[in-house]
Amino acid sequence: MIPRVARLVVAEFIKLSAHPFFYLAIAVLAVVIVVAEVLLPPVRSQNETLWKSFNSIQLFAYGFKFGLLLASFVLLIFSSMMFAGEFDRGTIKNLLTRPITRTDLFVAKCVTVLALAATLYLFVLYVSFLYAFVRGDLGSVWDDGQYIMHREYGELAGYARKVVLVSFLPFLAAGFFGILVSNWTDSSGYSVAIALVIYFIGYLITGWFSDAVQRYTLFYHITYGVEKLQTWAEGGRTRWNPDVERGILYATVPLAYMAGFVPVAYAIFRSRNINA
Amino acid sequence: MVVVLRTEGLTKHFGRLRAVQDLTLEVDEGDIYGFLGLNGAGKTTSMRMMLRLIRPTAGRVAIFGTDVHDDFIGIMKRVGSLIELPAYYPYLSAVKNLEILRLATGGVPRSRIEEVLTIVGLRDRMNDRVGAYSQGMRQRLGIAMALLPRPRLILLDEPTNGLDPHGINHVRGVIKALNKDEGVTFLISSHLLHEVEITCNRVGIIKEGRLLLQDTVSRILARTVSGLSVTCEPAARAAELLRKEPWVSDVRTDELGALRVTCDPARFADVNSLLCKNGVTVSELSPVRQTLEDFFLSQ
Repeated sequence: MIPRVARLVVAEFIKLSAHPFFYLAIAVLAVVIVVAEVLLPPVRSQNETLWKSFNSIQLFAYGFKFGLLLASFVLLIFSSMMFAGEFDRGTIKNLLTRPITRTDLFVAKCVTVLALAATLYLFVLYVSFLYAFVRGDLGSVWDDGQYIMHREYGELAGYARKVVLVSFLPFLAAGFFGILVSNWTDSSGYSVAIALVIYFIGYLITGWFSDAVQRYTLFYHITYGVEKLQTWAEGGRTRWNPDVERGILYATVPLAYMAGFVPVAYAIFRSRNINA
Repeated sequence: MVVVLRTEGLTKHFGRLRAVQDLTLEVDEGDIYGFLGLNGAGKTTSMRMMLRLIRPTAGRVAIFGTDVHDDFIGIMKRVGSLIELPAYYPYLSAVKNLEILRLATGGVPRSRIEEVLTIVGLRDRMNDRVGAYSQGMRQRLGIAMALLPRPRLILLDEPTNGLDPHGINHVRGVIKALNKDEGVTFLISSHLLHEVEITCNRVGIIKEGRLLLQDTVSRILARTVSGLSVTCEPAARAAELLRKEPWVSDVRTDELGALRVTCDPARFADVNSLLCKNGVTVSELSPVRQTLEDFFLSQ
């Protein structure tokens, strides 16, 4: 099974890398990250003074937050086209009349989403870091008006490292949500629309819930870490949520969601008749 | 004769619609088997069940003597198919489209891609985006996809759809050459009866989901003889003589003045001797055949 899946993953990347939307999405992502890092400091009242230039980790937090959010939409778009696109074009019948099983194809698509998520995540990380380090300085966060240190560099860097680690699983879960939606319909257009609407509305609605409820929603965790880092790097007092930390909810909640999405998507895919 | 493809009691119901009912057919090694039926007769549904794209309500399919559920991967290494319209990634070239299928198939050398594109006559345009191809070129690409794994059995669903006469002729030539030179077995569904008549050696006719008959094309054509055309002098006397015979069921005069005699083909010689004995000069005798199309529509 492994060689078959490996070949199918290569085939998936041939399709993905030639997709007209792929490079456009990457370009938009890079622009949004840089724009966020350029525009957000003045919007958030962060200024440069005689003794203080912009803090790189602070800029990184701005870029990473918006980049991650947008990348989760990009991931969702591609993953929600994964199966629906094959049904839409009819290419699913080409694939399933080859010497492979439906399980091979499903696993290959999941691996592709995982690899795409990692690629997008690393790209967002890279661009956010790159601009932040070119534009700002590494070091502690200082007060604008007085020669007072708000945040010591080591503590801030520790926050940033943790954010990079805790943000990936919720991001990946968005991709697997796309795979689930992709199996509901034969139309890639509908699939993308359904996935985006549910995801966007879910993201908005989650904000109205109490904290006790929010922490069990997927959307809360996508920006959980990076929002803490942003506030912390701006000199605010926000700390990690003790309830989230205790249950390692930034990992367990997305894993639980993925454990729900994947088997349902697989069951639908296995049972479908191919009339495309 | 080795049976390459066998279906037994293959049935598919979509709710109350009985798309295919109790389909039992056999395709022998080396056959070019024409699967004839009107639109909606159940041809494509049957072929999808053969390839396990849809689940049958009942029945089984065996290819190369093995049930498709027992060794699907092993079987599909030797099967090529084109079901309904060819499907492709429009933003990729023909080469990339075939590369994806080459990877999905496994064990196919990269050089095979150029080979199959040459066979279907797309070599010159192989690096163009398939989205820019004409309908006929896409159909050829679909056939190239079916040929890619060097299959021993190829299922083609309406393979000449969208092709111009030159394209149809080319595809027919490819099918016949592969069958003759490499012994590839074909199951070809079509509603183009003339095409089946000149391409296939065996035919199965399906109507409303049921297989009406399955036989060699030559035997079916023999069954299409519906009477005898007789050009003779005097025609009126001949018609009078023939109408008196109990084994002659009908005698008519066609627009050219020849007699159309409807009787058992075994009595054709008796027609000739009867007319000669009675002083009628017979200048031409020829069997009247229904076309396969007429025969098909009369079923």
